[in-house]
Amino acid sequence: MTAATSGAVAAGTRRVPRTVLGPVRDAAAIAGRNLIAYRRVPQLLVFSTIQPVIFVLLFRYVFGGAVQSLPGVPYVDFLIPGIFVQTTVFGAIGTAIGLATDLKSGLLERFRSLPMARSAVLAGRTLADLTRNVFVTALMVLVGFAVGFRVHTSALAFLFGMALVLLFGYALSWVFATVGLAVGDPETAQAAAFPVMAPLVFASSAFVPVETMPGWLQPFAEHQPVSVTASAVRALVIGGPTTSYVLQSLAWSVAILLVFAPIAVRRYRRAV
Amino acid sequence: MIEPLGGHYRLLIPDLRGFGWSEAPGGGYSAVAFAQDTVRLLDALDPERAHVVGHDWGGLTGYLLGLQHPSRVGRRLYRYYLRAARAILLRRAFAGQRLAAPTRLLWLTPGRGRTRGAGRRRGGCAGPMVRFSIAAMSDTAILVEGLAKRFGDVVALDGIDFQVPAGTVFGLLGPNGAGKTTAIRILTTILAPDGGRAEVLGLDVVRQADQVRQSIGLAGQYAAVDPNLTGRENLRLTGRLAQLPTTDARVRADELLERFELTDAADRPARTYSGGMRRRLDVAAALVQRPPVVFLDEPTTGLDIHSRNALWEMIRELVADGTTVLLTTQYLEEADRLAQRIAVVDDGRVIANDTPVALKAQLGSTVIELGMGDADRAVQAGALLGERLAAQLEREGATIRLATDDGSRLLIDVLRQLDDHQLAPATLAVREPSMDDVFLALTGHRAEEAAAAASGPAGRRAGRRGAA
Repeated sequence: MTAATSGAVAAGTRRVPRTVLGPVRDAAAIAGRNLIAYRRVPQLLVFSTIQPVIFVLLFRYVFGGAVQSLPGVPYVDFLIPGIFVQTTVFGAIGTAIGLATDLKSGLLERFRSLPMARSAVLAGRTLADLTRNVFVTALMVLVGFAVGFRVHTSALAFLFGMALVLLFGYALSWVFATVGLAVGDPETAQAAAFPVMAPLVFASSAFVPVETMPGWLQPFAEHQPVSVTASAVRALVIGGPTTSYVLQSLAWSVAILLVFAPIAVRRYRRAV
Repeated sequence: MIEPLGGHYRLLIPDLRGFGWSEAPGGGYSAVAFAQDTVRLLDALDPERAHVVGHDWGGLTGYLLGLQHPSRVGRRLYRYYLRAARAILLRRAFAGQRLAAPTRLLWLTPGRGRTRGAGRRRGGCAGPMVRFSIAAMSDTAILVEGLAKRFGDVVALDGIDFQVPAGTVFGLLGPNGAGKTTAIRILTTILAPDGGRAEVLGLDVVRQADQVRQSIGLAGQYAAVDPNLTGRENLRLTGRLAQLPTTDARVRADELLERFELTDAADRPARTYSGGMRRRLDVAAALVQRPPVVFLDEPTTGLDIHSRNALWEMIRELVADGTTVLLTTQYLEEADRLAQRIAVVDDGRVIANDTPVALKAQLGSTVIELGMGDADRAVQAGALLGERLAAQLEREGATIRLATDDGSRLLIDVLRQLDDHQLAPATLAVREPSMDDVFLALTGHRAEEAAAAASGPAGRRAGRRGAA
């Protein structure tokens, strides 16, 4: 009662031979599919860029005057690196919403019934979101320069800083992939993501120096991933000691990936 | 090279493109070589006992039957096929004449490692290019044994068993929450069962999940298409993810768009589609890899009558081509119309498994339905009729139903009795028993009660109705 060969099952349909590149090909197909959505529904991109632009204008011109920046650093140079990190954190919610939408619409079911790599849906989604982050942060760089932000070190250090931000954003995508698959509904995903995100973004050094916060909050605000990444980028573009912050940021990103990628994959395998 | 083969066979002749056929001389496995191999294979078969099932009649097999003008492939090939056709074999299969159920499945698959220069030796012996693998000793496409699944405290499947013969439509019938979708999810490798086993084409859905995925198509309960992609892009994406080469995925997408009458809308985002179009696209996506086994989970839910009929037609065509279809439905009429066999599922158990005819036969041949206006009168009439008449009787609100073998006799008796007691019914209907009646008899509740949330079956058989 067993089929003699797997070829027999597939008779009549030619297939690409299985190679190590198979999962890459599948992930690329899914990423392409997700990126088409940004092209077809530009609102997705417009709204996710308008919001950080508003933050820039708000903090640069409204709150900025009241903020006590680091000594000798103009507030705009303090702010913009924080904005980069904040943008990627907020953007990562898109991962949760996108996956929750696919889950709810039954698309994930279709994908899971196809002979494709198990990792492809999550890898494709997070890669598409990484691509979007590249675009959005590039835009924020332009906005930053327009409001007076300047790099005081080198272009190389600046690019390295951006790479840190993107890596952190990519790691966060896996956290929010888990959230999206766990709640399985786009509205709930958005609601569930906010309480995770708000303390990370606002109780951090993204917008104000940690020293201005109450003592009990400082240990958290000093060491949490958004702060260390913002501080690392800041150190890279303003100058000063960088190693500690960069290492902390890398450690956070890698740790988040190591913890959440397997959880997200497990969630994906069970989600219906 | 090929020994004469005994026994009953299903012979699957795949589309020529599946063999890497190209019109360029020397390109891939030539059409001529394929023709010769096919002739040899046909010679080796006993035409009385073989059964040819084309998997894609659109391509090569069309030529075999002389259905398409042969000029595109060349008269030479055409001649081969006329000879090859011996062709009783093929014509008989295509005329829809079913032979005795075949016990073995014979697949024609491309030979591994193409002989170099095969193309150059055109017209000569092409060598052993075609591998014949004998697969699936049984004709069972789907086998389910003691399948169980629970979610926390909720038992979704409580040990179900059924078998689906290859090339047939099997209906899983039951209300919402009966376990139909869970069964489909297990069979399509999306969920792992807690107990029992399930096989698709002899492949275990847990241990050989990846091979199962190459043999199945799934159209789930929702039209699972990406709203932001166009119809064409949706199908191409599915093709790529089914590991078809890019060009094959394109060709296949175009074929399916045509077949499902979506060509005009092919380049519009799917979110602009109507419900019927989305559903057609969804079913088309399920067929991208030409799966021998197709799962359709409530395929006509929410469709208008026109779209539903079109989809039914599509399902019949699939089966005529040798595909096995497992269909779930709450629409009792749908299972009745399409399925050769029906398993009635309730509360995670199979409570009946039979042909539609046999299921309906459990209920006599005629149902008389009396609307008594109000429940009190119905109770009185029920008591009266139950006492005096030998017929199956049940009351539901103000309605009384009687089932019998002798409808006209009973009708006269019923009306006479009721008239004598001043209990003339407000409405009266005489009809064939529907699957609804069967469901009620089996489960003690109507299918719609459990499924009240879902919209009622579109265009349910009205039967012969008349008011008295």
